[in-house]
Amino acid sequence: MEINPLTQLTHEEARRLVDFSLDQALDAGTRSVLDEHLTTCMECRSYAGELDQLESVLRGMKHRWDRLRPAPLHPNELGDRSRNKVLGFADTIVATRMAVMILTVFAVALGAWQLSIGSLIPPNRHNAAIPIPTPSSLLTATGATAPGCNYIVYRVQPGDTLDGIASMFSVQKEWIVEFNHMQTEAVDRTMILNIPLCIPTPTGTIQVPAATITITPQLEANSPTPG
Amino acid sequence: MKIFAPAGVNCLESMNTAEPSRLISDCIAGDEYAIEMLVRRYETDVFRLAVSIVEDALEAGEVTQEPFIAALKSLGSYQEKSSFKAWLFTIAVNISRSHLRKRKILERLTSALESVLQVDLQKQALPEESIIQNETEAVVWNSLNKLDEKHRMVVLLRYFHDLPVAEISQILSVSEGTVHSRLHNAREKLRTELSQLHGD
Repeated sequence: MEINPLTQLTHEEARRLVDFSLDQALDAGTRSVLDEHLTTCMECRSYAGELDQLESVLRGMKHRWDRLRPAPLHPNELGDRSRNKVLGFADTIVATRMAVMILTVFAVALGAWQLSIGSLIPPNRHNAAIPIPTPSSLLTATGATAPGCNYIVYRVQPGDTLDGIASMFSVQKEWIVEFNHMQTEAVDRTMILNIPLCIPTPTGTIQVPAATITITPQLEANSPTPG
Repeated sequence: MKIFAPAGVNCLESMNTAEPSRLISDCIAGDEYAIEMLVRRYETDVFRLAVSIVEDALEAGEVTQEPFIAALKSLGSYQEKSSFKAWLFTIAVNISRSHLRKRKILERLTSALESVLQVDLQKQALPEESIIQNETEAVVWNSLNKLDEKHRMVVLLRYFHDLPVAEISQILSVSEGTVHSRLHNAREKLRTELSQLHGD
Protein backbone atom coordinates (compact mmCIF):
# COMPACT_ATOMS: atom_id res chain seq x y z
CA MET A 1 0.00 0.00 0.00
CA GLU A 2 1.59 3.26 -1.15
CA ILE A 3 1.06 6.27 1.05
CA ASN A 4 2.63 9.66 0.50
CA PRO A 5 4.28 10.54 3.86
CA LEU A 6 3.25 14.18 3.47
CA THR A 7 -0.48 13.55 3.16
CA GLN A 8 -2.94 13.30 6.03
CA LEU A 9 -4.73 9.97 6.36
CA THR A 10 -8.49 9.77 6.34
CA HIS A 11 -10.06 7.49 8.97
CA GLU A 12 -10.95 5.02 6.24
CA GLU A 13 -7.36 4.87 4.98
CA ALA A 14 -6.02 4.58 8.50
CA ARG A 15 -8.29 1.62 9.22
CA ARG A 16 -7.29 -0.14 6.00
CA LEU A 17 -3.65 0.36 6.98
CA VAL A 18 -4.21 -0.94 10.49
CA ASP A 19 -5.83 -4.06 9.02
CA PHE A 20 -3.15 -4.45 6.36
CA SER A 21 -0.37 -4.16 8.94
CA LEU A 22 -1.66 -7.30 10.69
CA ASP A 23 -0.61 -9.42 7.72
CA GLN A 24 2.32 -7.57 6.25
CA ALA A 25 4.84 -5.16 7.75
CA LEU A 26 4.37 -1.55 6.62
CA ASP A 27 7.36 0.37 5.34
CA ALA A 28 8.85 2.87 7.78
CA GLY A 29 7.32 5.97 6.15
CA THR A 30 3.79 4.59 6.11
CA ARG A 31 4.20 3.27 9.64
CA SER A 32 5.09 6.69 11.00
CA VAL A 33 2.18 8.37 9.17
CA LEU A 34 -0.18 5.78 10.63
CA ASP A 35 1.27 6.08 14.14
CA GLU A 36 0.84 9.84 13.95
CA HIS A 37 -2.80 9.41 12.97
CA LEU A 38 -3.39 6.90 15.76
CA THR A 39 -2.01 9.23 18.45
CA THR A 40 -4.56 11.89 17.51
CA CYS A 41 -7.58 9.73 16.56
CA MET A 42 -9.22 7.85 19.41
CA GLU A 43 -11.72 6.03 17.17
CA CYS A 44 -9.03 4.50 15.00
CA ARG A 45 -7.03 3.63 18.09
CA SER A 46 -9.94 1.70 19.57
CA TYR A 47 -10.44 0.01 16.18
CA ALA A 48 -6.81 -1.12 16.26
CA GLY A 49 -7.30 -2.26 19.86
CA GLU A 50 -10.33 -4.38 18.90
CA LEU A 51 -8.41 -6.03 16.08
CA ASP A 52 -5.51 -6.73 18.44
CA GLN A 53 -7.92 -8.37 20.85
CA LEU A 54 -9.42 -10.48 18.07
CA GLU A 55 -5.97 -11.61 17.00
CA SER A 56 -4.98 -12.54 20.53
CA VAL A 57 -8.19 -14.58 20.94
CA LEU A 58 -7.49 -16.42 17.66
CA ARG A 59 -3.87 -17.02 18.57
CA GLY A 60 -4.89 -18.25 22.03
CA MET A 61 -7.13 -20.82 20.36
CA LYS A 62 -4.25 -21.81 18.08
CA HIS A 63 -2.13 -22.92 21.04
CA ARG A 64 -4.76 -25.42 22.05
CA TRP A 65 -5.15 -26.37 18.40
CA ASP A 66 -1.47 -27.21 18.35
CA ARG A 67 -2.05 -29.93 20.93
CA LEU A 68 -4.16 -31.89 18.45
CA ARG A 69 -2.15 -34.75 17.08
CA PRO A 70 -2.92 -37.64 14.79
CA ALA A 71 -3.49 -40.94 16.55
CA PRO A 72 -0.02 -42.26 17.46
CA LEU A 73 1.23 -45.24 15.54
CA HIS A 74 1.75 -48.34 17.59
CA PRO A 75 5.48 -49.25 17.76
CA ASN A 76 4.79 -52.83 16.56
CA GLU A 77 2.79 -51.54 13.64
CA LEU A 78 5.60 -49.12 12.88
CA GLY A 79 8.11 -51.96 12.99
CA ASP A 80 6.01 -53.90 10.50
CA ARG A 81 5.81 -50.81 8.37
CA SER A 82 9.54 -50.24 8.32
CA ARG A 83 10.00 -53.81 7.12
CA ASN A 84 7.25 -53.75 4.51
CA LYS A 85 6.99 -50.11 3.66
CA VAL A 86 6.27 -50.41 -0.04
CA LEU A 87 3.57 -52.96 0.67
CA GLY A 88 2.26 -50.65 3.41
CA PHE A 89 1.73 -47.83 0.96
CA ALA A 90 0.13 -50.11 -1.59
CA ASP A 91 -2.23 -51.29 1.15
CA THR A 92 -3.18 -47.71 1.99
CA ILE A 93 -4.01 -46.98 -1.62
CA VAL A 94 -6.11 -50.13 -1.90
CA ALA A 95 -7.85 -49.37 1.40
CA THR A 96 -8.66 -45.82 0.30
CA ARG A 97 -10.03 -47.03 -3.02
CA MET A 98 -12.10 -49.68 -1.23
CA ALA A 99 -13.50 -47.06 1.14
CA VAL A 100 -14.39 -44.75 -1.75
CA MET A 101 -16.01 -47.65 -3.60
CA ILE A 102 -18.06 -48.69 -0.57
CA LEU A 103 -19.16 -45.08 -0.02
CA THR A 104 -20.16 -44.81 -3.69
CA VAL A 105 -22.22 -48.00 -3.53
CA PHE A 106 -23.79 -46.85 -0.25
CA ALA A 107 -24.66 -43.40 -1.59
CA VAL A 108 -26.12 -44.77 -4.84
CA ALA A 109 -28.12 -47.42 -2.98
CA LEU A 110 -29.40 -44.86 -0.50
CA GLY A 111 -30.30 -42.47 -3.34
CA ALA A 112 -32.17 -45.21 -5.20
CA TRP A 113 -33.99 -46.16 -2.02
CA GLN A 114 -35.00 -42.53 -1.43
CA LEU A 115 -36.33 -42.27 -4.98
CA SER A 116 -38.30 -45.50 -4.63
CA ILE A 117 -39.86 -44.26 -1.37
CA GLY A 118 -40.72 -40.97 -3.06
CA SER A 119 -42.57 -42.77 -5.84
CA LEU A 120 -44.47 -45.07 -3.46
CA ILE A 121 -46.25 -42.27 -1.62
CA PRO A 122 -49.13 -40.62 -3.52
CA PRO A 123 -48.40 -36.93 -4.13
CA ASN A 124 -51.76 -35.69 -2.77
CA ARG A 125 -51.48 -37.33 0.60
CA HIS A 126 -51.00 -34.88 3.50
CA ASN A 127 -47.65 -35.77 4.85
CA ALA A 128 -46.28 -32.62 6.45
CA ALA A 129 -44.30 -34.38 9.16
CA ILE A 130 -42.14 -36.39 6.78
CA PRO A 131 -40.45 -34.34 4.04
CA ILE A 132 -39.93 -36.45 0.95
CA PRO A 133 -37.13 -35.18 -1.33
CA THR A 134 -38.31 -34.72 -4.90
CA PRO A 135 -36.19 -36.53 -7.46
CA SER A 136 -34.31 -34.21 -9.78
CA SER A 137 -35.29 -34.49 -13.41
CA LEU A 138 -31.76 -33.50 -14.46
CA LEU A 139 -30.09 -36.58 -13.01
CA THR A 140 -28.23 -38.45 -15.75
CA ALA A 141 -26.62 -41.87 -15.82
CA THR A 142 -23.13 -40.47 -15.22
CA GLY A 143 -24.46 -37.86 -12.79
CA ALA A 144 -25.99 -40.56 -10.61
CA THR A 145 -22.57 -41.88 -9.64
CA ALA A 146 -20.92 -38.47 -9.30
CA PRO A 147 -21.97 -37.58 -5.69
CA GLY A 148 -20.36 -40.76 -4.37
CA CYS A 149 -17.09 -40.03 -6.15
CA ASN A 150 -14.18 -38.43 -4.45
CA TYR A 151 -12.71 -35.92 -6.83
CA ILE A 152 -9.95 -33.33 -6.80
CA VAL A 153 -10.35 -29.92 -8.33
CA TYR A 154 -7.19 -29.42 -10.34
CA ARG A 155 -6.15 -26.18 -11.98
CA VAL A 156 -4.26 -26.95 -15.17
CA GLN A 157 -0.65 -25.76 -14.99
CA PRO A 158 1.42 -24.55 -17.96
CA GLY A 159 2.98 -27.53 -19.69
CA ASP A 160 0.41 -30.05 -18.41
CA THR A 161 -0.98 -32.72 -20.68
CA LEU A 162 -4.05 -34.84 -20.10
CA ASP A 163 -1.87 -37.96 -19.96
CA GLY A 164 0.35 -36.30 -17.40
CA ILE A 165 -2.56 -35.27 -15.19
CA ALA A 166 -4.17 -38.71 -15.49
CA SER A 167 -0.97 -40.48 -14.46
CA MET A 168 -0.34 -38.01 -11.63
CA PHE A 169 -3.62 -38.96 -9.96
CA SER A 170 -3.46 -42.50 -11.35
CA VAL A 171 -6.80 -42.38 -13.07
CA GLN A 172 -7.66 -43.17 -16.68
CA LYS A 173 -7.73 -40.10 -18.90
CA GLU A 174 -11.05 -41.23 -20.37
CA TRP A 175 -12.64 -40.76 -16.94
CA ILE A 176 -11.38 -37.19 -16.79
CA VAL A 177 -12.72 -36.51 -20.29
CA GLU A 178 -16.09 -38.01 -19.39
CA PHE A 179 -16.28 -36.43 -15.93
CA ASN A 180 -15.60 -32.95 -17.29
CA HIS A 181 -17.65 -33.34 -20.46
CA MET A 182 -14.60 -32.43 -22.55
CA GLN A 183 -14.89 -32.37 -26.32
CA THR A 184 -11.20 -32.97 -27.03
CA GLU A 185 -8.24 -34.17 -25.01
CA ALA A 186 -6.48 -30.82 -25.27
CA VAL A 187 -5.94 -29.00 -21.98
CA ASP A 188 -4.80 -25.42 -21.45
CA ARG A 189 -3.95 -23.37 -18.40
CA THR A 190 -7.34 -21.65 -18.20
CA MET A 191 -9.04 -24.95 -17.42
CA ILE A 192 -10.06 -26.26 -14.04
CA LEU A 193 -10.58 -30.00 -14.13
CA ASN A 194 -12.38 -32.25 -11.68
CA ILE A 195 -10.25 -35.35 -11.30
CA PRO A 196 -12.52 -38.27 -10.38
CA LEU A 197 -10.95 -40.62 -7.85
CA CYS A 198 -13.79 -43.11 -8.00
CA ILE A 199 -14.10 -46.43 -9.70
CA PRO A 200 -16.70 -46.02 -12.45
CA THR A 201 -19.81 -48.11 -12.01
CA PRO A 202 -19.95 -50.78 -14.74
CA THR A 203 -22.70 -49.97 -17.21
CA GLY A 204 -23.47 -53.60 -18.11
CA THR A 205 -25.94 -55.76 -16.27
CA ILE A 206 -24.88 -57.54 -13.15
CA GLN A 207 -23.92 -61.15 -13.86
CA VAL A 208 -25.93 -63.49 -11.71
CA PRO A 209 -23.92 -66.62 -10.99
CA ALA A 210 -25.31 -69.44 -13.11
CA ALA A 211 -24.57 -72.21 -10.66
CA THR A 212 -26.75 -72.64 -7.61
CA ILE A 213 -25.22 -73.49 -4.31
CA THR A 214 -26.58 -76.51 -2.53
CA ILE A 215 -25.63 -77.29 1.00
CA THR A 216 -25.34 -80.94 1.81
CA PRO A 217 -25.36 -81.69 5.49
CA GLN A 218 -22.10 -83.24 6.59
CA LEU A 219 -22.86 -86.28 8.61
CA GLU A 220 -19.34 -87.63 8.77
CA ALA A 221 -18.99 -86.66 12.39
CA ASN A 222 -21.79 -89.01 13.34
CA SER A 223 -20.59 -91.96 11.30
CA PRO A 224 -18.40 -94.35 13.17
CA THR A 225 -14.78 -94.07 12.20
CA PRO A 226 -12.52 -97.03 12.20
CA GLY A 227 -9.65 -96.99 14.63
CA MET B 1 14.07 -44.02 17.15
CA LYS B 2 15.03 -47.20 19.00
CA ILE B 3 11.97 -48.94 17.58
CA PHE B 4 13.74 -49.19 14.25
CA ALA B 5 16.33 -51.79 13.38
CA PRO B 6 19.78 -50.64 14.64
CA ALA B 7 21.23 -50.73 11.14
CA GLY B 8 18.88 -47.96 10.02
CA VAL B 9 19.37 -45.63 12.98
CA ASN B 10 22.19 -43.45 11.69
CA CYS B 11 20.60 -43.05 8.32
CA LEU B 12 17.27 -42.09 9.91
CA GLU B 13 18.73 -39.60 12.33
CA SER B 14 20.61 -37.84 9.62
CA MET B 15 17.41 -37.64 7.63
CA ASN B 16 15.48 -36.25 10.54
CA THR B 17 17.54 -33.10 10.37
CA ALA B 18 18.05 -33.14 6.61
CA GLU B 19 16.81 -30.41 4.30
CA PRO B 20 13.38 -31.06 2.77
CA SER B 21 14.99 -30.78 -0.68
CA ARG B 22 17.33 -33.68 0.10
CA LEU B 23 14.51 -35.76 1.55
CA ILE B 24 12.45 -35.09 -1.56
CA SER B 25 15.17 -36.09 -3.97
CA ASP B 26 15.68 -39.28 -1.91
CA CYS B 27 11.94 -39.94 -2.04
CA ILE B 28 11.92 -39.55 -5.81
CA ALA B 29 14.79 -42.02 -5.95
CA GLY B 30 12.52 -44.47 -4.09
CA ASP B 31 14.23 -44.41 -0.68
CA GLU B 32 11.69 -45.93 1.72
CA TYR B 33 13.20 -44.35 4.84
CA ALA B 34 13.08 -40.93 3.21
CA ILE B 35 9.39 -41.43 2.45
CA GLU B 36 8.74 -42.42 6.05
CA MET B 37 10.63 -39.37 7.31
CA LEU B 38 8.82 -37.02 4.95
CA VAL B 39 5.47 -38.33 6.13
CA ARG B 40 6.56 -38.08 9.78
CA ARG B 41 7.74 -34.53 9.37
CA TYR B 42 4.52 -33.18 7.91
CA GLU B 43 1.78 -35.53 9.12
CA THR B 44 0.88 -33.44 12.19
CA ASP B 45 0.58 -30.26 10.12
CA VAL B 46 -1.53 -31.99 7.50
CA PHE B 47 -3.68 -33.59 10.21
CA ARG B 48 -4.37 -30.22 11.85
CA LEU B 49 -5.22 -28.72 8.49
CA ALA B 50 -7.63 -31.58 7.82
CA VAL B 51 -9.23 -31.19 11.28
CA SER B 52 -9.77 -27.49 10.69
CA ILE B 53 -11.53 -28.16 7.40
CA VAL B 54 -13.51 -31.34 8.03
CA GLU B 55 -14.05 -30.51 11.76
CA ASP B 56 -13.89 -34.14 12.79
CA ALA B 57 -10.78 -35.61 14.33
CA LEU B 58 -11.66 -39.19 13.34
CA GLU B 59 -12.33 -38.35 9.73
CA ALA B 60 -9.27 -36.07 9.62
CA GLY B 61 -7.13 -39.03 10.67
CA GLU B 62 -8.34 -40.86 7.59
CA VAL B 63 -8.00 -37.81 5.36
CA THR B 64 -4.40 -37.22 6.48
CA GLN B 65 -2.87 -40.09 4.52
CA GLU B 66 -4.41 -39.17 1.17
CA PRO B 67 -2.43 -35.96 0.51
CA PHE B 68 0.77 -37.93 1.09
CA ILE B 69 -0.19 -40.59 -1.42
CA ALA B 70 -1.10 -37.97 -4.02
CA ALA B 71 2.01 -35.92 -3.22
CA LEU B 72 4.38 -38.88 -3.38
CA LYS B 73 2.97 -39.78 -6.77
CA SER B 74 3.48 -36.31 -8.17
CA LEU B 75 6.74 -35.43 -6.37
CA GLY B 76 8.40 -35.19 -9.76
CA SER B 77 6.23 -32.22 -10.67
CA TYR B 78 7.08 -30.33 -7.46
CA GLN B 79 9.25 -27.32 -8.24
CA GLU B 80 11.56 -26.11 -5.53
CA LYS B 81 10.83 -22.45 -6.11
CA SER B 82 7.79 -22.82 -3.83
CA SER B 83 7.79 -24.14 -0.29
CA PHE B 84 7.17 -27.88 -0.01
CA LYS B 85 4.77 -27.38 2.88
CA ALA B 86 2.66 -24.94 0.85
CA TRP B 87 2.63 -27.38 -2.06
CA LEU B 88 1.59 -30.25 0.21
CA PHE B 89 -1.06 -28.04 1.84
CA THR B 90 -2.49 -27.21 -1.60
CA ILE B 91 -3.13 -30.91 -2.17
CA ALA B 92 -4.36 -31.42 1.40
CA VAL B 93 -6.78 -28.47 1.17
CA ASN B 94 -8.26 -29.92 -2.03
CA ILE B 95 -8.63 -33.39 -0.60
CA SER B 96 -10.07 -32.15 2.70
CA ARG B 97 -12.55 -29.95 0.87
CA SER B 98 -13.69 -32.83 -1.29
CA HIS B 99 -14.19 -34.92 1.87
CA LEU B 100 -16.19 -32.08 3.40
CA ARG B 101 -18.37 -31.87 0.29
CA LYS B 102 -18.87 -35.61 0.26
CA ARG B 103 -19.77 -35.60 3.94
CA LYS B 104 -22.27 -32.78 3.44
CA ILE B 105 -24.02 -34.92 0.82
CA LEU B 106 -23.99 -37.87 3.22
CA GLU B 107 -25.28 -35.64 6.02
CA ARG B 108 -28.16 -34.55 3.83
CA LEU B 109 -28.94 -38.19 3.14
CA THR B 110 -28.60 -38.99 6.85
CA SER B 111 -31.02 -36.26 7.85
CA ALA B 112 -33.48 -37.48 5.21
CA LEU B 113 -33.03 -40.97 6.63
CA GLU B 114 -33.54 -39.70 10.18
CA SER B 115 -36.79 -37.96 9.26
CA VAL B 116 -38.08 -41.02 7.43
CA LEU B 117 -37.08 -43.53 10.10
CA GLN B 118 -37.73 -41.13 13.02
CA VAL B 119 -34.44 -42.06 14.65
CA ASP B 120 -31.51 -40.02 15.83
CA LEU B 121 -28.24 -41.02 14.18
CA GLN B 122 -25.43 -39.63 16.33
CA LYS B 123 -22.86 -37.35 14.75
CA GLN B 124 -19.15 -37.65 15.50
CA ALA B 125 -17.86 -35.37 18.24
CA LEU B 126 -16.08 -32.20 17.12
CA PRO B 127 -12.77 -31.24 18.67
CA GLU B 128 -14.45 -27.99 19.85
CA GLU B 129 -14.40 -28.70 23.59
CA SER B 130 -10.63 -28.81 23.59
CA ILE B 131 -10.39 -25.54 21.66
CA ILE B 132 -13.01 -23.30 23.29
CA GLN B 133 -12.45 -22.38 26.91
CA ASN B 134 -14.42 -19.20 27.54
CA GLU B 135 -17.30 -17.09 26.25
CA THR B 136 -15.15 -14.82 24.10
CA GLU B 137 -13.62 -17.81 22.34
CA ALA B 138 -17.06 -19.36 21.88
CA VAL B 139 -18.27 -16.16 20.17
CA VAL B 140 -15.24 -16.06 17.87
CA TRP B 141 -15.46 -19.79 17.09
CA ASN B 142 -19.18 -19.60 16.32
CA SER B 143 -18.88 -16.55 14.12
CA LEU B 144 -15.89 -18.17 12.39
CA ASN B 145 -18.07 -21.16 11.55
CA LYS B 146 -20.80 -18.85 10.27
CA LEU B 147 -18.42 -17.37 7.66
CA ASP B 148 -18.61 -18.77 4.15
CA GLU B 149 -15.95 -21.26 3.19
CA LYS B 150 -13.52 -18.93 1.41
CA HIS B 151 -13.43 -16.46 4.31
CA ARG B 152 -13.22 -19.18 6.95
CA MET B 153 -10.38 -20.85 5.08
CA VAL B 154 -8.13 -17.76 5.03
CA VAL B 155 -8.62 -17.18 8.76
CA LEU B 156 -7.83 -20.84 9.51
CA LEU B 157 -4.69 -20.78 7.41
CA ARG B 158 -3.56 -17.40 8.72
CA TYR B 159 -4.13 -17.91 12.44
CA PHE B 160 -4.44 -21.62 13.16
CA HIS B 161 -1.69 -22.64 10.75
CA ASP B 162 0.30 -19.44 11.08
CA LEU B 163 0.97 -19.07 7.37
CA PRO B 164 2.04 -15.82 5.69
CA VAL B 165 -0.23 -14.22 3.09
CA ALA B 166 2.09 -15.24 0.23
CA GLU B 167 1.76 -18.94 1.07
CA ILE B 168 -1.99 -18.71 1.59
CA SER B 169 -2.31 -17.17 -1.88
CA GLN B 170 -0.30 -20.08 -3.28
CA ILE B 171 -2.34 -22.72 -1.44
CA LEU B 172 -5.69 -21.30 -2.47
CA SER B 173 -4.48 -20.27 -5.96
CA VAL B 174 -5.72 -16.68 -5.58
CA SER B 175 -3.80 -13.40 -5.63
CA GLU B 176 -2.28 -11.91 -2.48
CA GLY B 177 -4.66 -8.96 -2.85
CA THR B 178 -7.60 -11.35 -2.71
CA VAL B 179 -6.19 -12.99 0.43
CA HIS B 180 -5.79 -9.54 2.06
CA SER B 181 -9.31 -8.55 1.17
CA ARG B 182 -10.81 -11.85 2.38
CA LEU B 183 -8.88 -11.57 5.63
CA HIS B 184 -10.09 -7.98 6.02
CA ASN B 185 -13.74 -8.95 5.44
CA ALA B 186 -13.52 -11.96 7.75
CA ARG B 187 -11.86 -9.96 10.53
CA GLU B 188 -14.49 -7.22 10.17
CA LYS B 189 -17.27 -9.74 10.78
CA LEU B 190 -15.47 -11.37 13.71
CA ARG B 191 -14.57 -7.97 15.21
CA THR B 192 -18.20 -6.80 14.96
CA GLU B 193 -19.45 -9.89 16.76
CA LEU B 194 -16.76 -9.54 19.39
CA SER B 195 -17.52 -5.83 20.01
CA GLN B 196 -21.23 -6.71 20.32
CA LEU B 197 -20.34 -9.17 23.08
CA HIS B 198 -18.47 -6.46 24.96
CA GLY B 199 -21.19 -3.89 24.24
CA ASP B 200 -23.88 -6.01 25.94
